[in-house]
Amino acid sequence: MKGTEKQLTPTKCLDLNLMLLKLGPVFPLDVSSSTWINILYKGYISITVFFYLVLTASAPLYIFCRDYPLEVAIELISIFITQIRSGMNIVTFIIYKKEIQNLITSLYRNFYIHGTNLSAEESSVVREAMDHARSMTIGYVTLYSITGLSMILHPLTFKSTDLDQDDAFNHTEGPHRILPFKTWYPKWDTTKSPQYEIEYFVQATLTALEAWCVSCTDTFCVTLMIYAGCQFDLLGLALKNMNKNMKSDIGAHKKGTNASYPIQTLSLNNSTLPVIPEENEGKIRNNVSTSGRLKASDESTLQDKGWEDGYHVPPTVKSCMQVERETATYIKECIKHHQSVLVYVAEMNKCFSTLFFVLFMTASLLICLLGFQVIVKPPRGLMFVRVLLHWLCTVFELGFFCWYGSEVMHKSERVYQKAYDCAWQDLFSGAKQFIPVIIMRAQRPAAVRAGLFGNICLPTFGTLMKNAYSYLAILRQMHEGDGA
Amino acid sequence: MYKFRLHGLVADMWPLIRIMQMTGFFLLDYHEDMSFGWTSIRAGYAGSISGLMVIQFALIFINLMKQSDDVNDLTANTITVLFFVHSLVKFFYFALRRGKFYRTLATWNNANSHPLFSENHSRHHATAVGSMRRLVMYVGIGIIISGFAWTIITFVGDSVHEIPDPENANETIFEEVPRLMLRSWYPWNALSGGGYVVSFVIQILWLFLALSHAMMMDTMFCCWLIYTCQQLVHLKEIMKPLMELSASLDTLVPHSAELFRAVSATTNNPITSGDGDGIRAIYSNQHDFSNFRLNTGALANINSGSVGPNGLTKKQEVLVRSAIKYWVERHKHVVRFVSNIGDTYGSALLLHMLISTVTLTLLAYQATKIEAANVYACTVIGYLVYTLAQVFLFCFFGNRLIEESSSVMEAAYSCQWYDGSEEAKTFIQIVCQQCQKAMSISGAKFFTVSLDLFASVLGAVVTYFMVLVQLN
Repeated sequence: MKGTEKQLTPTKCLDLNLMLLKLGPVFPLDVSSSTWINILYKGYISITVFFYLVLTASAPLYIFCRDYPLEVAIELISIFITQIRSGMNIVTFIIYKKEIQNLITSLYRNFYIHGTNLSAEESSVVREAMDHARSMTIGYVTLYSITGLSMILHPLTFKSTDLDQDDAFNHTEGPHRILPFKTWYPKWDTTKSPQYEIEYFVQATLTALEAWCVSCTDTFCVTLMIYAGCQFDLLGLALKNMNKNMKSDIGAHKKGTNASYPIQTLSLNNSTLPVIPEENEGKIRNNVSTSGRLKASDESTLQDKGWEDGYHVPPTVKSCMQVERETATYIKECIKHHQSVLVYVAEMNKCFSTLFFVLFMTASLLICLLGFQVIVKPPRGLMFVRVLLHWLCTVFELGFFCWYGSEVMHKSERVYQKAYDCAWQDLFSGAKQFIPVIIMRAQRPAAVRAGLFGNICLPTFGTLMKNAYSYLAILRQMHEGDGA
Repeated sequence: MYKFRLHGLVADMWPLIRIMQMTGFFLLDYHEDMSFGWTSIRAGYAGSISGLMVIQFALIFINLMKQSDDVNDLTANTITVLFFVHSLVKFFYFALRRGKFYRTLATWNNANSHPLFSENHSRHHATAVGSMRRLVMYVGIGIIISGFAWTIITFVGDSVHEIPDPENANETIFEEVPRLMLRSWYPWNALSGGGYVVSFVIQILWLFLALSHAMMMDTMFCCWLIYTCQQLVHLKEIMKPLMELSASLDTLVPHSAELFRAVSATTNNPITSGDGDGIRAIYSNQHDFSNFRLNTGALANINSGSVGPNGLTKKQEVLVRSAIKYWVERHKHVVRFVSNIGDTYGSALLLHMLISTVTLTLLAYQATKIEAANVYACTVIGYLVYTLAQVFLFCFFGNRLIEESSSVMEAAYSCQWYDGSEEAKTFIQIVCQQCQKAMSISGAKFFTVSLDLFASVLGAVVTYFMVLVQLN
């Protein structure tokens, strides 16, 4: 094993995500200890919310106050739905701040099952999860940034010749300058000079902020899911290697000196303990032959004598009660860990269930509308790229959640296989009683839920995509019906 | 005279039962005065209401037959007929299966109790009763609003219908029909005057009665499910104190307490060493035990008395065992209740779903003919929303039952069972195995009542609508 590697600190696992969140206005913890910076941050949040509301209100105003063809309507509705979804993201992180803080602290705690050190195998599992989470975060944020950029830059590449065909509807527009998103406000003419720049600036800022926020919050949620899965893996490892870990406890005691052995276990009240001095190889799987019968009085003397001679001397036969107790303690710690990871998933559900519900409810419709824009009426130039990227982002977002949600479910189920894999037949009967209950609980997967939609898993993704396609087919029919 | 005493489920559901008796269901029990005279009067009342319902329904059906030439009229009348078939079916279903309903209502007449958990139980019982009464109130308000909306919309727009022009076969003219809520045939002239008033009065009465007949039965079903869910919540909540009781009484010797770290999660007391004062100290810190009056004479001398196999004295063991027994008996009672409910109401749900499927298909067809936001659109959407709301009501509560019963296992796992005695661990094992499969209500074994059912119904309606739009 790589003994020279520096100790892995799982508390660093969320660093990248928290840093990204800090840049956007949705950081769940306190930004810094200085109150001024906190106030500035709150101002940052309020500006974002203000811009957001300004832009969101424009879509219904446009729909009710101007006339427009079908394509414009679809574009407006798709932007409106996107705004609702981003709004849900931001609002969730603002409302559930306390709960998210609790989630983060319990996440850090749940990496450790026994004591405060990770074994080499556990470290490699955690490291793998951390690397995976990091690469996924970076890729996702990049995708969203490119999309946001394309939305902002789209008007700059807009050629005035494209407007000729739309001229029938746009009598009032003189110079052909457009904004990223079609808006309409009472008494605000965006064709004149200062209003156009102001509005463009507002829309650009909002797009950048929104893209950043949405990507950060999404990756944060997904990272939490990845680490939940990782912790189920750790639990499985602990259960499977129960005997090996117990043995290594005993082994460490063999090699070490008096100091390394937790002497408390021997300081039990000897008079009340029925020490059963018997050879019982089934219970103590050592390579070392067990010594003969012990008398209770020998225990305390052996403590001093037996270890000094190193492991050539057969170690004291730990009385069966001690082994039983240690095994029981080990299993109980595993169970407590299982319980706390399950509680962690339940709290995650409490925080994010509404968010996922809104996301999933609007997902099919949004994918359908964007798909319609891409397939049926391909816009020219950068607009096409922008819509395509937007569509890709939506599908990816859904796929991300469903993929990692599935992972969490499967990993939590795998725990029961690992529980069965441990050498339970060699445990004493008291410990054997723990195993069935663990298996029964683990067979029920711990799933992240999306409100009334059910669990977030790949079959849900399939259903939503199928629904999106059927809506798209209907929309095409309606469009062709209108045209023909 | 026989002193009538309300107890059990009947007492909890008393407003609903009274409403059902007033609207004419054959619910002839649960009265103070069960003498022959009064019973026959009540039976007569129920019989006359059933006669009214059947006759008016038959008149509507006759009207349907008479107007079966025009497709639009035929569809509209069929939807009306199907809509009110629910009421008739539920009414006579109740009349024929009275015995099963009485048996289900009597299930909770003899519930067990345990002093340790009585406070928790009464709290949940009160919550259940509150929810049930609230549900009845909401459904009642919904029925009244629907009835009034129906009446009001009758007076909006022209009360005419199209028929082929007797002179020119290719054209249609508008013929006047009586401005009534339901298109029905009357042997007298209902267009104006006394005949109109009589018809109107009959129809209003009939409309409200029919709406209540359909909804009250479903409400009774939902109330049963609410009660069951609260019982399950009660069982889940007492699991934790039960395990802590077993764990706290199971400490062997002081020093090993550190190893086990058997600290109660809710209270932060370290477990006292296993001597006699332990029980009283534990009880005074947990509100659930506050009602338990210790037989101080019996339990105080823990040190005396024989030590059982877990290190518990006989009295401690009896206590733990009685608590476990209460839990198991209560759970079995709940299971029995759910199977009674399924027995009683399953077929009614099946019939409801069959009729609703046909109704919704026809409504999807009607919806494709909507052109503008007029009276026609309002009525179609109104029918649609009402039918879907009926299905949603029992699907929602059926789903709650499934979720509550399957979460018992999670509650059992999340308490401190690993510190309990062998008996407690075996108990947890059996509970987990039993509760792996959720309790659910099935529609006579054809389908399970859950939100999945509602989603599939909704999906089917949307599919039919889309297909019919394409065919247009």
